[in-house]
Amino acid sequence: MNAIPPPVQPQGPNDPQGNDGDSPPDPAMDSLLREWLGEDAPPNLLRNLDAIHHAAKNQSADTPLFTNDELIAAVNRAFKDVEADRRGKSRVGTTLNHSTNPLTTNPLTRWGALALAASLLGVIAVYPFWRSREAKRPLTTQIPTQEFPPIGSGSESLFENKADVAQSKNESTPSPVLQAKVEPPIPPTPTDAVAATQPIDKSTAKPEPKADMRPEVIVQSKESRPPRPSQTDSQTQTDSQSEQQVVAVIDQQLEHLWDRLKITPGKLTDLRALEDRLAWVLIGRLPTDTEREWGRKAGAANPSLDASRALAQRWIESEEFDRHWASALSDYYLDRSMPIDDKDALKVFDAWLQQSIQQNESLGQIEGRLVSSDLQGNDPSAFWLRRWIAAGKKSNAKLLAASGRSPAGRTLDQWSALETLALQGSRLSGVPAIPFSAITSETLSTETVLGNAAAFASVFNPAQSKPTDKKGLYVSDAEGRVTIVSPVCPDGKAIPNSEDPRAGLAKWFEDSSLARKAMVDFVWKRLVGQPLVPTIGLTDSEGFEDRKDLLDFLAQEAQTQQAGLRQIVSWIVMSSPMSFESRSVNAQEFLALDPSVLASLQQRTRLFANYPATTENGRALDRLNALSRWTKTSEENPSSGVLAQPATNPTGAKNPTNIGKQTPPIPSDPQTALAWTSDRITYEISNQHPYERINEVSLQLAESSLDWEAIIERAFLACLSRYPSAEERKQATELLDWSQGDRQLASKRLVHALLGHL
Amino acid sequence: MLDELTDSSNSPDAAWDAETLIAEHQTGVWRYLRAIGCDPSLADDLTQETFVAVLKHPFQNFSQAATASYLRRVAFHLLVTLRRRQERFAVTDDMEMLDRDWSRWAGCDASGNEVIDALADCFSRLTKRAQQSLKMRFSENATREQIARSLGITEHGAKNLMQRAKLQLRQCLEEKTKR
Repeated sequence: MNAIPPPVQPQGPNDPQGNDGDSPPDPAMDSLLREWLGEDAPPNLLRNLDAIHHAAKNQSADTPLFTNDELIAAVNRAFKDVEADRRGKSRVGTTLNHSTNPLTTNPLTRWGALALAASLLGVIAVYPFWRSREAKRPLTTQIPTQEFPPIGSGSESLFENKADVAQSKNESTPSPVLQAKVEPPIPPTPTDAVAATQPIDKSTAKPEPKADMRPEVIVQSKESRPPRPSQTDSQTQTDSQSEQQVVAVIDQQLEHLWDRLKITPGKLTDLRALEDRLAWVLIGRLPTDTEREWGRKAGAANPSLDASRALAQRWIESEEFDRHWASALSDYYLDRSMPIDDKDALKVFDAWLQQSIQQNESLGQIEGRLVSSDLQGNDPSAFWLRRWIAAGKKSNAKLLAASGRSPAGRTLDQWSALETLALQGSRLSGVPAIPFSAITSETLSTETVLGNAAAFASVFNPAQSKPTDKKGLYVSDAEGRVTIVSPVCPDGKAIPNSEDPRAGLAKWFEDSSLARKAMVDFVWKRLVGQPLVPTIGLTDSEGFEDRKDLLDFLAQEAQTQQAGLRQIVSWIVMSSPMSFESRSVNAQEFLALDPSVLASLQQRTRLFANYPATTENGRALDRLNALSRWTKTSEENPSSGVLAQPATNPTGAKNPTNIGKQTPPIPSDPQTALAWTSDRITYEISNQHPYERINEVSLQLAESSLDWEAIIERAFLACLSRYPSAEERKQATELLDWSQGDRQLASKRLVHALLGHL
Repeated sequence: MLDELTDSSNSPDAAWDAETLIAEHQTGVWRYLRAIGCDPSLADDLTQETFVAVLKHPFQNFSQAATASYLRRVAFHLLVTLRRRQERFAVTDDMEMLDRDWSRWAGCDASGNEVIDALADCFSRLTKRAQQSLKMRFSENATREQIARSLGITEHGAKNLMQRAKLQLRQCLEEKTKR
């Protein structure tokens, strides 16, 4: 006889019935209160009408609700229990088999057993004509129903505290935005000086006078900026004002850009699509119906409150945000283009980042600690260093040398291909691409070229002699030449504290606006879809100077305010670019337009947020279907289209609210990988460790039978949901040459470049 | 009675339409299932399954009350079967009592809207503190500790306050739905 588990009683605040634990359960009253006061609501089955009809039709009309055996067995069990109770013995049925007899101790249970027996007898009487078959059937039909999950993480709910809602409403009251015009808007930084020396690709730039091209940049004056949060009495209020001022600057700067380029950006009027976009970028999943409803209620309660913005603010404050962005930062710092074997160390590293984000540590602090290795226990910094050593990049070697922890006397691998691409991107854009993972050789100084590797080995053979007179790290390039790397900061300047280079480098990361610029650009790309200052293909006609100024401003603001990741994300999310309509060239346009017109259109496309909309109205699906049709006919292989699959939601639910909660496996078949929709790929990018996954996709692209032109096209479609412009196509084609015909390497470089990783 | 309801030979002129049936009764069935102890997602599933089960068979809509009663019986037995398969009989023991409560409250009202309206009226008669405690509990998912802190009372006091408030609501509801 099987032991029967104890009765399940509602427990605590998370109980759906809302019972408060140890008080007598009253499901009827609790459910009414929860519906009337809370978020519970009946489903709308009319949306599933066809499915219900189908299910009912597929089940034979003769199928009984209960089989004969089930009913008889249930009644027999009940009768036996009642009989046993009457005799004062423990129950013999399988219904209740507790050590203490509930029938003798609980009159309600006794009554319930009798009532159950009576009800089951009633069933027999009521449904006699359903006893013709004994076939069992599944109790519930798998038809999608309304979801009622809590918002955010499992233990978190947006409805936890309505006071928060009220507070967010109060915070939304407009505050005076600083309008002071200052020229130059931002004091020149060392970066500007470096940037000015960089060659700028002017091939496609229009020769307009700079005075006419560039509007006055509207920024707040230094004097009018709010004091640092720690210096104010009301930190929250100051933070809110400060954020609104930064957002206003972003909006005004871009507004001037639109005016100058004579572009009127389209606003995303579909609230649902906007919510989708915000949820994608902030927490890596689609919003649930409950969250959408909460946003609408917040908007309805206060007309001055933007519902989607209120939702975004709550998502930014959520634990899911910490987790999602810790993963993104982890990819960023660890260069996930390489596989990571030490999963435990990776978990520690991710957890450390999540905790840092949760505690609103400034990015300077995070990067400083990463370099200085002042962490205890399972040291994420040590893990990070091992990654860099394993990567074997010259830039890494320089950083190691600068950190004072270089394995002196050893050689590392040759120049990194990624570094080469970053260098090339820097030359094209005129701005040093300084993500943390791609510190280029130009920003580090090298010293003596000692000759070829053999000569080096004869002079500095670690087994025979220690190069104690040469502090630093030795690397060999592709041609076998060996170079000694001297410890300097990434901006090429001497380390502030020569006695302790590690601490000096950490201080540099904490104080440098260059590092902040790299991070702001990274965050911008993650949120808006493209880097603020892309490393490939951006020309002045696309507002290069304006965007560069904006990047400088945001980096300096991040440095001044010691902003954490949460704050930087909030600035950008609350600004206008997030609400611009996506603008991608569809298949018809692509086929019809003249290449020069297409190139111009693509230039403008760069100015807009570029995420595939995931709305219910099918607009985005129409676009994808059009693209997939074109892809199919052009390739004569229906299964090879990147966008050939109809949807990412296998259940057919209209609202795939679980899309952010599942982790679909990476298909091993290249053709299957190519069949991913852009929604699916966006999900992959948005989810944990995107670079690792996208790297696999890039490899599968390379292993396919497609020619390089087709691979370029698919990479653009997969990463940016659009086709490449003529200039981009040309540059991407050169990648294959730079990679010496290695399609796999070139594909990886291309995908990472498109993701703004460089 | 249920035999009559499911017999298509009776009252052949009674028009019946699945869409109308679902539109009129889905809320009532869902509320009924919630009232007898289903969590929201299970109530969703069983509401749908109830209509699937009903639509398998010829069905005549004699009256709103008869149909509502029939649907509740089907939903009830679907839940009984599910609980039996899950071996959670102790919860099932109280289902008949809960079923009677709801049937008494809702009566002929297929949707249960009248019960909700009555609840709203009864709620407004509670003291402000009782209202606040229930709002925090059911709207904001506040813990008893949070409620107690907000009201400046002990946790035990908050528990008693909510229990008394729910008891008053139940008595008021019984009174208002007495037919």
